[in-house]
Amino acid sequence: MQCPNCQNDLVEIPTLEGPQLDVCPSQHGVWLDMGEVNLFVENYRALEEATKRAAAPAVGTPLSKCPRCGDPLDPESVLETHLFACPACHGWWLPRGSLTHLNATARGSAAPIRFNETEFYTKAEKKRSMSGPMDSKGDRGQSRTAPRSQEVWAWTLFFGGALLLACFILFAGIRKSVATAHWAQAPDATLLYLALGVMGGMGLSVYGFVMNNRKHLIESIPTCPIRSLAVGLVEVSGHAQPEGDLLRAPFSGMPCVLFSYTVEERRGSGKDARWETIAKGTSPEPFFVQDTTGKVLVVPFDAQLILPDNRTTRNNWLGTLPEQTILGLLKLGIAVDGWLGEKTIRCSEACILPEETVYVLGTAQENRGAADSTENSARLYIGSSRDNEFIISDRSEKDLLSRLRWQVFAFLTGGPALALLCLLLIFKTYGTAVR
Amino acid sequence: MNGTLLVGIVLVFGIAGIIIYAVGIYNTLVRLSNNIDKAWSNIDVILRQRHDELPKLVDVCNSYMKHERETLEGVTKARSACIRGASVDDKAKAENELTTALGKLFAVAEQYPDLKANQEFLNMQQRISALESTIADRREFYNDSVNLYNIRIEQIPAIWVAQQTGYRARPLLTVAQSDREDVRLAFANRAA
Repeated sequence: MQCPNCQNDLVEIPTLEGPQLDVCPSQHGVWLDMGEVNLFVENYRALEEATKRAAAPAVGTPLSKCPRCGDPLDPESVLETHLFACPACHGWWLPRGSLTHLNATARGSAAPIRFNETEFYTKAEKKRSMSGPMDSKGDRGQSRTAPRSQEVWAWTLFFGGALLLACFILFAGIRKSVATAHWAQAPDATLLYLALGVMGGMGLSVYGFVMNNRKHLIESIPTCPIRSLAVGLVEVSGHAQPEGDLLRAPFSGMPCVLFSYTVEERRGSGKDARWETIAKGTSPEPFFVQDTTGKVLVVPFDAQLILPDNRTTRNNWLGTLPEQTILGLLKLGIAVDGWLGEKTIRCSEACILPEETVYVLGTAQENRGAADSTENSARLYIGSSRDNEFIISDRSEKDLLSRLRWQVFAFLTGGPALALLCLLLIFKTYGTAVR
Repeated sequence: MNGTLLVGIVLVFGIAGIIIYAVGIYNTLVRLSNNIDKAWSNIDVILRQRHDELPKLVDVCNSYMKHERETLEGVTKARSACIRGASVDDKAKAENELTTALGKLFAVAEQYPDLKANQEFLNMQQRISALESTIADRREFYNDSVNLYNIRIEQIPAIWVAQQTGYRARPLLTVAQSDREDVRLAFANRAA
């Protein structure tokens, strides 16, 4: 929309009174759509009466066209205030000072309406100088300011150039080292471990970035009421409920709606003894998440489970496993007896209990088999998708973020520190310059 | 290790780290901004469903509420305004007026026991009420999305990336003053 006086783009300013106000940044006036003026005057009934009586045109500089619909504006005088009205869309153009005068003339309610018109013009001027081409009311909510490509390119060239220069310096340093250094001692197993340490440190850094992305993803999606879920990536929180009968956790027999387990066996002996994972899995049965607005089905296939409370059972000092654990292992098809007696086995399980608070971040999809229904419990389910994360946790979003924050901190500081330390040790121990 | 090599390592890792971090922030802003657009479109989807239900509702009510023509016309006019609305702001105003008109209609329908007993009317009323609740939820969700975005672009160091790449604060959906006021209803068949 453009100012009828100077044809500059009008700037949208939020106001405490409610509507976004269209203001000329050159301080020529403000535009009010039909009805909006009522929010700036206390006695809007008096204004309404006065508007009906406003017949005699005021003396004023004729203006060209309505910012909203382009029709010619009619000069009018309402409550001794000079303004311009559009006969088509019934909006008003109030020259500078007219809105304040109208507010002062139409006083009288118990709730005072006070504002500073000068402040609107100051904000409009500031907003115009900050952001360049103005977005009008017609674009509100739909527009996305495009990145300023010139600035992005300038920074890209700057950092690209700096990185290139740094690479040249690094390359020069490597050449100098290679030309002038020799091995202070022959490469041995320690060098290999240090090299692995460097790679491990870099791997930890990469993992830290992955954790950081996951943290940002969880932070950037608001929790959605289940009643109004839309198809796509969603985040819900509520109480877990079974779809059918309750499940039984494999090793403890605890009734639950979801369980995951890991079975490890001790193999080898003496210094070579180690725990090897021989089985792991998650219950495939879907379950419901219910909040105060409704419930939705969650299909846990391919979900990343964050269930920190693990229960672990293992052989006692006599080398025997609890009976419940043996039954669970046999159900899973895992033999407990080795050729020297019972195997040394460690079983971990985690589960989500009925009515336990659960957090789910996943992709809401249409349930194709469901009958046509308005209820999300029938129409949609939350499951995995190739493009999005799928996380199920018995922790709240706040706890999850707190854990992730610590993990990100640990990996992003520890990883580079380890890599740098190992690199320095390699150079210090194995490389020395000769002149 | 010579000084050149040490400087080179520090510079490469430092500059690469800054680039990766800035790119990460930019990608987050892109995601937050797109979330807002998606939330806005999701409101539109439900509004459209509401528009589609209204002709059936008016048809059902017409045969019972013969003297409430003004109320029924109010709903029809508001629906037409929603469909015709050129700008986003026009549409938002029209949708608010439609919500008010529907509220009046359902309140007036309470005066017609035959209509209240009509199963089709009851189903429609339930459906539209459910849609209204969904619209309200999605508006809150939209505001949550905008809030997260506005907070992020004002935090350090994202504010520097946002300023350089042109990401600006987005307005929240607000309630117009007229919608905060109580609605006065007039019943055609109210006893004197």
